[in-house]
Amino acid sequence: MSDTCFNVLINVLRGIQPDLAERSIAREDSMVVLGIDSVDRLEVLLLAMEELHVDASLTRFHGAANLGELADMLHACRTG
Amino acid sequence: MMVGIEALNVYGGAATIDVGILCNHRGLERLRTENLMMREKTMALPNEDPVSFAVTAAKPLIDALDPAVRARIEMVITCTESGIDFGKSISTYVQDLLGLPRNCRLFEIKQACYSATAGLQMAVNFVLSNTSPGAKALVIGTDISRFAQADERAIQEWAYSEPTSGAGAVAMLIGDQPTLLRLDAGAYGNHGYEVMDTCRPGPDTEAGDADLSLMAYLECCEGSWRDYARRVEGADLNKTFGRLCFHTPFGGMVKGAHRHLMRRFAKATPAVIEADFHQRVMPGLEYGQRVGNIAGGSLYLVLASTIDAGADGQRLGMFSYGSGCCSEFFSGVVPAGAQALLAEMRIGAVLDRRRLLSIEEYEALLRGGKALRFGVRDTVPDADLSALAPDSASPRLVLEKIVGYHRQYRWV
Repeated sequence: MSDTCFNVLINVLRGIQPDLAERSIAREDSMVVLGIDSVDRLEVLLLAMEELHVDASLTRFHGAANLGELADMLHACRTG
Repeated sequence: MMVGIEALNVYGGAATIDVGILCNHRGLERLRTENLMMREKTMALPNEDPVSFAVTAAKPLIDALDPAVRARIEMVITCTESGIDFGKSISTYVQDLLGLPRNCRLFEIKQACYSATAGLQMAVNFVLSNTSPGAKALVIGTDISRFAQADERAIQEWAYSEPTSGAGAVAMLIGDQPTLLRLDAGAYGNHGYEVMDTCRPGPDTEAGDADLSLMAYLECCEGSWRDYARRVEGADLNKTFGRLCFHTPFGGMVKGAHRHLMRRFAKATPAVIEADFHQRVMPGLEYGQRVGNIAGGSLYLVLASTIDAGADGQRLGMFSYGSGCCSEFFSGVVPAGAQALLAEMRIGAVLDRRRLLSIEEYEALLRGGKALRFGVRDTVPDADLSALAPDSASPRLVLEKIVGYHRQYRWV
């Protein structure tokens, strides 16, 4: 399951955007809807990749519709 | 043998718009617009095109040359994604309007915002080849963005790229007497691959995906640095370079790329990264913040800002990126005296002379009047809109008319 990846994404996201600390975040939420700009969206991905020790092409993660899909993509990279 | 940039000038147009006022007018979020790190952007007038920008940028360089040196310009490369013809290159107009010799290679290079670096490296390798000892090359990055004209929906889709899309040209003389930037020959790294992040599918349209473009930019930043470090023994991102110059679509993107590189390759803490950004990167952002993203010439706007801010004796790390995509990390040293030499071009003072447009005037320009469309056979530019900048704004070339596809210019 990609729960670990999802939790890492949420922690990183809240570190970058402290306003989200009290807000519940679901797998169906997208960073765009949460008000994260394009540079910070990429920063969230980079920090999550570092924490999860994922070494993959960034463009591989393009097209994730929401945080759940992004977590699944990260999980797939970890498990090969 | 030495090689590099002997002279450089920027032309940032005759009219400008305050980006803060524009963002307020469009109702864009303040925090996001602050992250763009933009203050003004140049607007091309109806009687300006990539030829007029290129020639106006190059004229002071050429005028300052001894006739014997001018006669040694044997290559003119224009670098653009705002081409005016599928066959004939802008460089043919440039050669004619500047009165350059006819024993000259004339051509144009396209690869999005990487184009001017491709042109620079082509010129550098021409000089290094020594097939024509003492010869020089004129390389000009010239681009205007005339999108979203007369189309409300297009303006909405333009959203956050509207405040950053500028117009301008950077002209550089390349030779074996590099008084502004002595390139480290052989010290470079490339990273490129096919990706559909941003493109110009039509002459007046641009399409793209902001997230994918950021990903490709960052991936190239890392990949080209790795290739540079593989080629250059002892290269250290933190210690080798006194300044870092990045292709700048907008300042926030450069800040993100610098942060990533410093974290990954220098293991730097957030506080160290922030201080390093202000010391090594920020001095280069000045002119881009006043002109906007000018595609191929963007990195060389950064170079001009960096040298003007004072970088004599420093080694510069330079990153060039063009969507699609191709990128390069390379380096060079700013010789002693470069700052004083470049100051003679008075780049900042010439930018100060631009006419500040009102929102109403800006939107009239977007609607275009008799805008110069690609492929127009016969036209005269809209006189009223062209007059938004007074002739005294700076000595500059303007388009008088197009007759049988042939463009005719005059100086004002």
